[in-house]
Amino acid sequence: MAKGNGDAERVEEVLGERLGRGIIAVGRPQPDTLLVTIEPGTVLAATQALLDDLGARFLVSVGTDRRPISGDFAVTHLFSLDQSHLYVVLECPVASENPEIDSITPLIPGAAWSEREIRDVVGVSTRGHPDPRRLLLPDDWPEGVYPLRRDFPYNERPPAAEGTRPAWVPTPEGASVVTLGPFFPVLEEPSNWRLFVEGETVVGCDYRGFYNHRGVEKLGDSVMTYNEIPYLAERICGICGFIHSTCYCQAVERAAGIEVPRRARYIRTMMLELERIHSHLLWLGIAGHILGFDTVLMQTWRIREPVMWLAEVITGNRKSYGMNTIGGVRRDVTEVTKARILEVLGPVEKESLAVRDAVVGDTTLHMRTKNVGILENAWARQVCVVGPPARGSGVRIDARIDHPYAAYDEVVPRLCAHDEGDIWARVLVRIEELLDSIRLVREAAAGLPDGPIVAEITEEIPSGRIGVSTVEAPRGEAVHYVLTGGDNRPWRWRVRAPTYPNLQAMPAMAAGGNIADIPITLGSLDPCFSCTERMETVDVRSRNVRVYSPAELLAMSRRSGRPGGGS
Amino acid sequence: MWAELAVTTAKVVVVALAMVTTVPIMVWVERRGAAFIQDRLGPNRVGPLGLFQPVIDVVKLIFKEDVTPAAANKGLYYLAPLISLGVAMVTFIVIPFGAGHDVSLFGVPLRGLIVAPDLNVGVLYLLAIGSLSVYGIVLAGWSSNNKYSLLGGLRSSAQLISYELAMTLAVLGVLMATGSLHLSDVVARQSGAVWHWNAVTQVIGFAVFLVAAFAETNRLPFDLAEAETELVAGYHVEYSSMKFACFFMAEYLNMATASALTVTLFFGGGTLPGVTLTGWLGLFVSTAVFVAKMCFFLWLFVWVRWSLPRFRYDQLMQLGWKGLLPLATLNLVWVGIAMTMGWLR
Amino acid sequence: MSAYIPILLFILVAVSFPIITILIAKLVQAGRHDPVKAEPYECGIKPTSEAHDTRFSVRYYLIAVLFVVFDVETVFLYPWAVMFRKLALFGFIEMFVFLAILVVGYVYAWRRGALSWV
Repeated sequence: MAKGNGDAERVEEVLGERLGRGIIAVGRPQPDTLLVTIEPGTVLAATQALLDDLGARFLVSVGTDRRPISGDFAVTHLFSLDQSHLYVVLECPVASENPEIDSITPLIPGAAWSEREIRDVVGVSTRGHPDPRRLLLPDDWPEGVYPLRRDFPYNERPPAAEGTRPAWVPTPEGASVVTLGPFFPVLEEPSNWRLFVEGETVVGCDYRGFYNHRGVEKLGDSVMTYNEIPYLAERICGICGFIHSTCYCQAVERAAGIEVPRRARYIRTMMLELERIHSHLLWLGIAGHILGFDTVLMQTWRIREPVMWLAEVITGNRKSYGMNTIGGVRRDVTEVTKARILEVLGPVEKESLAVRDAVVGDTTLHMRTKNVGILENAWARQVCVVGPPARGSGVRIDARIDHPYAAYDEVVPRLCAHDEGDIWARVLVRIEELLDSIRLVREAAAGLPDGPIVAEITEEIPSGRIGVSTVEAPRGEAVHYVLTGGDNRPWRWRVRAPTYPNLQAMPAMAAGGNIADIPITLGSLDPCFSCTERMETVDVRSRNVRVYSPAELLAMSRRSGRPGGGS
Repeated sequence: MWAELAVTTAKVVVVALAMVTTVPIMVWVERRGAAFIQDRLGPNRVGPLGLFQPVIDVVKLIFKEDVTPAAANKGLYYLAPLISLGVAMVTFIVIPFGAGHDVSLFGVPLRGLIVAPDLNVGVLYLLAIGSLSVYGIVLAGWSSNNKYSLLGGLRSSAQLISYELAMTLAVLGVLMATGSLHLSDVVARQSGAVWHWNAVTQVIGFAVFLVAAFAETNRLPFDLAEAETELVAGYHVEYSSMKFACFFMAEYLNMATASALTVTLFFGGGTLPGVTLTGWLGLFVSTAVFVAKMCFFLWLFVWVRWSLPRFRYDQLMQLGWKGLLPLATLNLVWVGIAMTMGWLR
Repeated sequence: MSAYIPILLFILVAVSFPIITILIAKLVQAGRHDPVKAEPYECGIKPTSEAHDTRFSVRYYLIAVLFVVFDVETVFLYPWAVMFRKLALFGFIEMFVFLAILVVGYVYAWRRGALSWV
C-alpha cells in the first residue's frame, strides 16, 4: 500500500506549481491518501490540474458543516489516481456567511449530483452549476432548511412548504412525454424517468429520484456510534449491504490507523465475493426478465439461493450479515463451514456456466442488447461511471485492483473489461466477474491464514481525522468518506453508492434509443436506488410488526422444506 | 327443422363448453409448464397438483373491484373486451373437430363435428372474423385514455395487420392445393398419409403460418402489445376484474384457435394416416386425434413462451414485412409450380 | 341461408357469455369509488398530459396504408387460388403476372425504406 509515495510527491509538486499560494496545507493521513487544503477560489485550477496533468478520476464531493469546530463549512472533492493507487482529497474551507464555491461540474459532468446534494443538505451553493435544481430533498421541503447542518436535529420535521418542487427540463418541441416510474413494473424501487419521445424514439430524458431518502448519513453523525454504524451501513443496500459495512469500517479503520488482522481481511474478501456472486446472478435474472425471458430469471435465482444459504451458514443471516465491526469481523469461518463453501460452489459454478452458455448462445438476446444503450468511453470517463458499466465501455477501473483492500493484494482479481460499451458488453463483464468471483472465494478459502479475527482497540478514535475507502461492489465502486468526531461517532460520514454516478450516464445512454430499450438500458446499470438514496428498507409507517416465537420460526423453516434449513 | 336446430344447438353447446374449459386448463398447463421449464413447483396448493388454481383465479377476478377510469371513453371502453372475447369464440364455428359424416342424431345427419357444416366460405369466414380481433385491442388502447394503453394498442394493431398479411398468404397455398374454402375439404385432402399433410408439402408456408400465429395471438416472443416491462400491460392497463378476464380468456382462446387452425390446415385435422374408421367410433377417434394434435401445438405455445426472450418492436416489424411476406410469396410460387408440374396431387 | 343459423346461434352465445360474466361480477364485487382511483395510470404520478394528445410515430399510418394495398391484392388472389386446379396453365401464367406486379410494388416499398421501422 505504500506504492503511492512517489506519485504523491508529484501531485504535491504539480498542485504547488499551478496554485502557488492557493495551497493552505498538505497532509498525508495515510500513505495512500494525500490531503490538500486549498483556498476555495483556486478549486477550479486545482481540479483542472488534477484532471489534465495527473489523470485523476473524480469520486465524490462532500459538504461538511464545521462551524462548531472551525467556524466554516468545507467542500471536499475526492479524487482517485488509479494508476498510482492514490486518493487525493481536495479540501476547500468555505466561509459560513453566504457559503458559496465555484462549481467543478463544468469540468467534470460527473460532479453534478454531488454538488446539487451539497446545496440541498448543507447549503453551500455552487457558482456556475449548469443545473442547480433540487436533487435530494422532497418536494415539500422548505427552502433554507439544511438537514445535514449540525444545528438541525436528526428528528426535526420542518413544516411542509409549497412551490419548492423543482421544474422539469422543458419538453423538446414536437416530443411527447412518457413517464417511467416511480411505480413501474421493472423498477423494483421508485425512480421517476420522464422520457421525451418522438414516435417511439427517445430524444431525451429527465430524472427525479431520491424517493427513498431516509437520512442515513444524518443518523450516522448524530445518534449512532462508530460500532453501531456498520449495521446501519449494511442496511443501505438490500442486496450488497456487506460492501457498505466493509467500506465504512475500512474508512474508520484507516482514519484511526487500526490494523485489521489478516484472517479478518480474508473473511471479508470471501463474503464480498459471495455477495458479488449472488448479486450478479440476481442481476442476470432481472435482465432476462426485462427482456421477457423469465426462465433466465427463475433459473439464476434458483442457482443463487444456495449462495444465500451459504451466507446464512457463515454469518447467521442470508442478508444483512451483521458480520463487520471496526477492526475486523465478528464471526470466524471454521473448517466445517470452509468445506461447506467449497461444496456449494461446485454446483453453483457448473450451473452458472450452463446459464452463461444459454445466454451467450441466444440470438434474440444479441439482437436486443448489441449496439443498444451505448455508453461511449469518453463520456463514461466524463460522468465518472464505475463498475461493470464502466468496464463495459473500456474504462479499466476496479477498486479491488486500484486500491487493494481486504485481501485483494494477495487474492488477485481479474479485471474483466470490454470495449463495445453496449448492453451486451455489460452482460459479458458481469458473467465473467461472476465466474472470477467463484475462483476468488475458493482461493480465499484455501489461503485463509490463522490468527485473530478482530483487532483489539484500546484507544479512543481521535477526532478530526479523515478516512477514504473504496470497495468494488457488484454494481461498481462504492466510496465512503469519514471525518472522525468526538462522542465516539463520526463528524461526517458520506456514502457514495455506485449507482450514484452510473445513473447520471443514463440520459446519454437513453438518447436515440427506442422506448423498448429504456428498461434494459436502465437495467444494464444494475441500478440500486436504495443505495443511491441511502435509505432503510424498513417500512416505518405500517408498524405491522409481527414477532414470531423461535418455535414458530423453526416450524416455518421446516415447512419451507429446504435442504440445510435450520443448520 | 326443429330436429336440425336441436342438433345444431347441441353442437354449439358442446363446442362452446369445450372451448370455455380449454381456458382454465391452458392456464394451469401454462403455469405448471413454466414451472417445469424453470425448475420450480408452480401452483400446487389448490386441489391435486394445483388443478383448481384457475378456478380460484376466476373467483378472485369476479370479486375484484371493477375500476373504470374517469377519462375513459365509456362506450368503447366497455365494447372492447366484448369484441375481443366474442371474436375469439366465434372463430371455432367452422373448424371440423371430428369426422362423423355418416352419423345421425335424432334422425338428422350430424355431418361432422363442426358447428356450421354448410358454410362454404369457411376459410374466408375465419380470416374475416380473425381480423376483427384487432378492433378489441385498438379500441381498448384508445378508449382507456392512457399513454401505455395507447402505445400498446397502436403497436398491437400494426403487428396484427402486418402478420395477418403473411398469414393470409400462407393460407393461400393450402387453398390452391385444396380448391375449396371448406375446411372439411382441406382436411379430407390431407387424409391418407403423412406426406399428404400440407405441413410436409408446404414447409415454408407452414413455418410462416406458425410464426404469424404466434404474432397474431400476441404471445411471447411477440407479446409487445402487453410487454409488461416496457408498457406495463399495454392495451389492458386500465382494465380490471372480469373485463380484464375477457382479454385474458381471449388470449387463451386465440391460442386454441391458432392451434386448431394449424392442425386443420397443415396437420390433417382429425385424420390418422392409415386408419379409416366410420360411424360413432370414427367420430370419437378423429376428435381424439384432433385434440391430441391440438394439444401439441398448445404446448408449443407454452414451451416457446418460456424459452425465448421478447423481440423489440422494430425487429418484429422487420421480421413480418421483410422476412415472412417474401417467404409466404415464395411458398405460393412453389405450390403453383409444383401443382402445374404435377408434383403435388 | 340455413348455413348461417349456427353462426347466429354461436354469436349469441359468444356475446352473451362475456356480458353475463361481467354482470355477475358487477353484482358480487365490492366497489369503493375514489376519484384518485379513476385517474389514468401513469406510474403513480399525476398524468403529465392527455393520452390522446400523445404524438405517435407516423410509421403506423404507413403500415396501415401498406396493409390495405397488399391485403386488397391478396383478396384478388383468393378466388384464383380456389379455382387454381380448374384454370390450369392459363390461370397459372396470368396470376403469376399479377404476382410479379405485386412483387415489383413490394420491392419498390422496400427500397424506399417503407418497410424498415426506424
